[in-house]
Amino acid sequence: MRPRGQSASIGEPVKASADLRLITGRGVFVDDLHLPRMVHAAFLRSPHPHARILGIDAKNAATSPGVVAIRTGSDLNLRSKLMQVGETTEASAIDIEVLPSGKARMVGDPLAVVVAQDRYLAEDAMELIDVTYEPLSPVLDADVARASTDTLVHENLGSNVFSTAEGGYGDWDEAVASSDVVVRETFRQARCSPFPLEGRALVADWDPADAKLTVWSSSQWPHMFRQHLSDLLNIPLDHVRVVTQDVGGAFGLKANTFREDIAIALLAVELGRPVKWVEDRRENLMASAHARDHSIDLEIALKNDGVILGLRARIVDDMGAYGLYPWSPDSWGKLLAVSLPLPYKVPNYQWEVVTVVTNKAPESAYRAPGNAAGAWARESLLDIAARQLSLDPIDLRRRNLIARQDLPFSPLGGGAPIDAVTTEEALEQAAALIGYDDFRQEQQKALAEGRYLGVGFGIYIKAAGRPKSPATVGLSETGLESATVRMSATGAVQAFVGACSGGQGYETTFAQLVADEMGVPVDAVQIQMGDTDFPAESSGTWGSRSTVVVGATLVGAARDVSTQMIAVAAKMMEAPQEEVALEGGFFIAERAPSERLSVLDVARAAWEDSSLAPSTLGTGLSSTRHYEIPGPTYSNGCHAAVVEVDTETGKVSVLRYVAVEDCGPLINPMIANGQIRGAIAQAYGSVFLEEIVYSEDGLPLTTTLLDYLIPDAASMGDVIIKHLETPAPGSGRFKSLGEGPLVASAPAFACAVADALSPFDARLTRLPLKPDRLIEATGGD
Amino acid sequence: MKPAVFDYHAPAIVQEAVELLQRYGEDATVLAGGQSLVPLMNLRLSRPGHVVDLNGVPELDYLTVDGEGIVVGATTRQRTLERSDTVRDLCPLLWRAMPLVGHFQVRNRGTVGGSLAHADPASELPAVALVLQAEVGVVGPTGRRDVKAEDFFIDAYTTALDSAEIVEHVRFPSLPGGTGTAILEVARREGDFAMAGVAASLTLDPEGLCSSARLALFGVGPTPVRVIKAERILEGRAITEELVGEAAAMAVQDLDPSSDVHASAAYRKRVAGVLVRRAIAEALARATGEQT
Amino acid sequence: MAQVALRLKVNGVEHEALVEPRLTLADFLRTDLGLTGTHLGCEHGVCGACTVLLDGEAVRSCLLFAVQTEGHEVITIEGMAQGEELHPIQEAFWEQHGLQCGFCTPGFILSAYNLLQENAQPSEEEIQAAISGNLCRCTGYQSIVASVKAAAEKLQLQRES
Repeated sequence: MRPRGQSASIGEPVKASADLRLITGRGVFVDDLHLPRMVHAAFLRSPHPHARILGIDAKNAATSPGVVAIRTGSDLNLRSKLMQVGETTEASAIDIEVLPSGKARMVGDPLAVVVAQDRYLAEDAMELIDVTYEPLSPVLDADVARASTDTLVHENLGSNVFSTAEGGYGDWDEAVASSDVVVRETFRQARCSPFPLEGRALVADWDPADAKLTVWSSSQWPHMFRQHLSDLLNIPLDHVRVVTQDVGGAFGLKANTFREDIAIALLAVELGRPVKWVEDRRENLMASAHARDHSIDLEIALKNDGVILGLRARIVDDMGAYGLYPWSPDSWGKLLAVSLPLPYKVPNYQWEVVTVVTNKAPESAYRAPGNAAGAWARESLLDIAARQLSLDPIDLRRRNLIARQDLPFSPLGGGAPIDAVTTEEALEQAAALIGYDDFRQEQQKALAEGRYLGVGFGIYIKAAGRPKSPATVGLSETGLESATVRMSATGAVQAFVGACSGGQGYETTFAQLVADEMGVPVDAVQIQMGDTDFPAESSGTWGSRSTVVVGATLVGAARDVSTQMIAVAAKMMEAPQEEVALEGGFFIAERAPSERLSVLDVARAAWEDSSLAPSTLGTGLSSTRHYEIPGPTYSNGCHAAVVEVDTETGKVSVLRYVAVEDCGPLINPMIANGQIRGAIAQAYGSVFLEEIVYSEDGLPLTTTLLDYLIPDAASMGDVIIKHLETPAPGSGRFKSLGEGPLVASAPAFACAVADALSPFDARLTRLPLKPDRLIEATGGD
Repeated sequence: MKPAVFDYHAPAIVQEAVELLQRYGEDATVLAGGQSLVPLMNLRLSRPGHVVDLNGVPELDYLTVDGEGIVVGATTRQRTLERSDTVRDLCPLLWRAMPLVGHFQVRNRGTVGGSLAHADPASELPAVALVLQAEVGVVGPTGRRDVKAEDFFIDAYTTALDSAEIVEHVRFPSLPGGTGTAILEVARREGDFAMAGVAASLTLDPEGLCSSARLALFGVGPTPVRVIKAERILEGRAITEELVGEAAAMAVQDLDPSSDVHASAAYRKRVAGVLVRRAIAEALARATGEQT
Repeated sequence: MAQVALRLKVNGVEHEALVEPRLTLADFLRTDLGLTGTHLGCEHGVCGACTVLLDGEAVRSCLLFAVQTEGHEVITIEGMAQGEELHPIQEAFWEQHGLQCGFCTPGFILSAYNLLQENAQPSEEEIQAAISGNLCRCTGYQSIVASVKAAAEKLQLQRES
């Protein structure tokens, strides 16, 4: 075997293997499945934000052409366990039925499901279902909802407040007393949509002979989904199989188990035929889930020299009408709260999160939940403080960063020590690459010409790969991950992992890890994933965990197989194991270099001749490993943007953008850079474009792509990326990358605009920074 | 998101199309490029019982030079205009407007007649038609008639077409020598509908005085609007920065745009003024030959 | 429901079918012909995932009824490669990793095809403008722009040789 550390492929821009099928139209997304006898479902959804359901009459619809079945809550709800989101009294008061039968609580609430020969016919029949509603007044604004006692979304809750949580450390009052200045602002992050290009989709099929449910799902967590189906439908775990093939983006939306999923599975069991449901874009924008509906009242206490003494956050989170199984609805607000102080040394911190129920779609995780909005608020407030104290905003940050000499840094709020981060280097390099030293001159010169330029920075430290996540419920095994690597008798390497890919390129990066560990070419490794019948367990792909968690597990299993092969080769050559090496595809014994065995020779012998087996426990070359890293790894980065604002039209142009990232050693720079650029585009979207809007009557106004805008190719120019590759401590080495860049990017964009408009003393406290808001902030109309 | 059932008709000649429309009345709709209609049908916001597809009517797809301008058949694709040197040379304003109409994949299907007949308040072509004083050739059960652009746009998504009438062609007159044109808009992203926009033409006489000014705003009301009071300010005078400011202020004075998820009414009104100012400057630079 | 006879050529092959008038071209390709590389991302003509070539021009197949393609020729993503040999645009997307989840990718490739046919050497701005009618949520577009640029160079070399 090649000595470890001599990587052939790690760090190289190996072409992504999945790309070949995707560029030729051979990918298999859920909607591409056509099974024999398959039927198609459509959901009838409430047009009212809040209404009592007095009756549902499906008589006319039942005789519509092609209809196979129509079911409502009264048919389905008792066949599933309650989708309760948490174990608290409040959680049990959130009434989540598969199909609501008493009240509709949001526009888009699924009240009935039609199954027909095709989707056209299902939609035809859906229009013939007659629902009698008694409209109720909706609660839409979180502050109004909090105060309201007469209009309740969930009567059993007794109010519209799901929970009030508090936390922190140190003494805020003391921090204020010792400070020279306290700066306060309330920041309003817009409700937005995770918006994968492919929406939710599943095909469920029930095999009565084996009593087995198979579900093809566009999912981030097939194993968790299997667990939920098993739990909720009371089917033994090994009688549920979830298959996830190509996934058209997920971003957090597909790490939920939805009511529609359960309804479709129930129908498949009942009808004994495959049932397909693919949500359309209107359903996706109206009724799947939204994210980031946070109001953040933030105070910071500082000394005149910019040293931070304390931080206080009061967060109101609008969770919408329901929780999403199995997450506790206050998870995202709490994540925001606990992530706020990072990456700075904040000696005193106090937070409160009030999670409020309203008549809107429920809140999902969306890439860097909590963290991204929190970073925008925090970095914006730091810039405001810097202006107030007449300090350079970079100096202010330098003064407070968790720096090299602070490592390992024990977060005061608890958690694993932060180590192997390079916050100062990232900041200095970003400042250098964006040209910060000369920027103020450039800015002044432009201003003299009537042009408004600004620079903004965003800094993050982000943990990933926690063994357990405290913010979740029903996820006692969130640290679970296993991988199996085996070499077949044909010399092919197969690696089974439980994670699945929605564009992250895992088929390639995981193959690189295994190939390098085993000393075989990358294309000799097949990564098998996304099928719960494979020999691998997983908690799924979310929270930037997969590379950290799967990577470490996979490398361990690959190493085992390498060791097994050396042992077999040594036995075959009658040489001591430590004298056998793999070179150029052949095993060679030190004492007789002319006697060589090919990988294939050894592989075949190992499977065919049990006497060669390295252990007494079986024949063959195979190993299964479980995730064994005790704590998370921390990535860090710093992004900087220079923008120009047309103060007559409110249009913003991004002139320069740099991202300095430390995600540890790069496995594949091409794939890593794609993750970074994609995250930046999503940050651009939430800063400039994306906003889910409800009318005053509670009707969603952003249910098409004419209203809900995501970035396009002309939105911004190139991103310059610089990597610092500091290995994580311990055996894993690799760090995460999926979410951190988004956390740094949102503040970089927003702070740059605020800096550009500082001559107007513009207050930019509400996202997105639409042209009309910018004009208003400059004192225009 | 699938369309409701309809009957499909593919007439081969204009007369047949008109007969079908007459036969099915309000239950029929005309399908041209389909880039606005079909989304509405897929959303079931539009559910005609009969769809009369004009794409198989060859006599509606042409582009010719006619006297002082060009005549464009109703189903001529927007992309054809965009690619046409004739349009660029004879109707530069029309040519400049084309890239602003959606994205090129949409313009590959979208038609000139469809865009006018749909009469989206935020769309570019109706405003261009106003500035160029285009004439819309209409055919219906009682024969043919020409409707001036200024009489064609009645309200948002409402035109002077009767239910069995279709647009047959549009005549865009050329502008005289010494004319410069410009079309500017502000949209959330490129290719999106305008939050505000303006089409402008300025003609200078040999002394450099403005002999004719035409300004039409779009995206700021139910229909595109010519702002004649603002044009009057410019006409007969040498155009100065001050005068441009005065015209811009006048142009937006009576506007009463509405708010939506993209922009407030106040923003639309304000930015319309900015665009008028910029468009006049750009048109002037073209009229004097400083800019191409 | 009345079905209409339809004849068209898809990826060089003549097809005859009976279709309901309301069947969109996208659904016809995906369901009747099994060409599932054409994806539906919005079904209202904005996202561009369903882009195909109609008589050589990039169009939204969700905004066309299959009946409208009578006598016309459609090319889908499945028609881009010649057997095992990728089209240079596909090669470029692979080499530049101009995709991630791949759901939007067929639409981008067909839009790029139409662009490069009309403009063999587009500038970066021209590429951005041309593909801004296709939405991608994963890449941030930079690698897609690089792919189109690389494809233009490949096609140029192909023409020269």
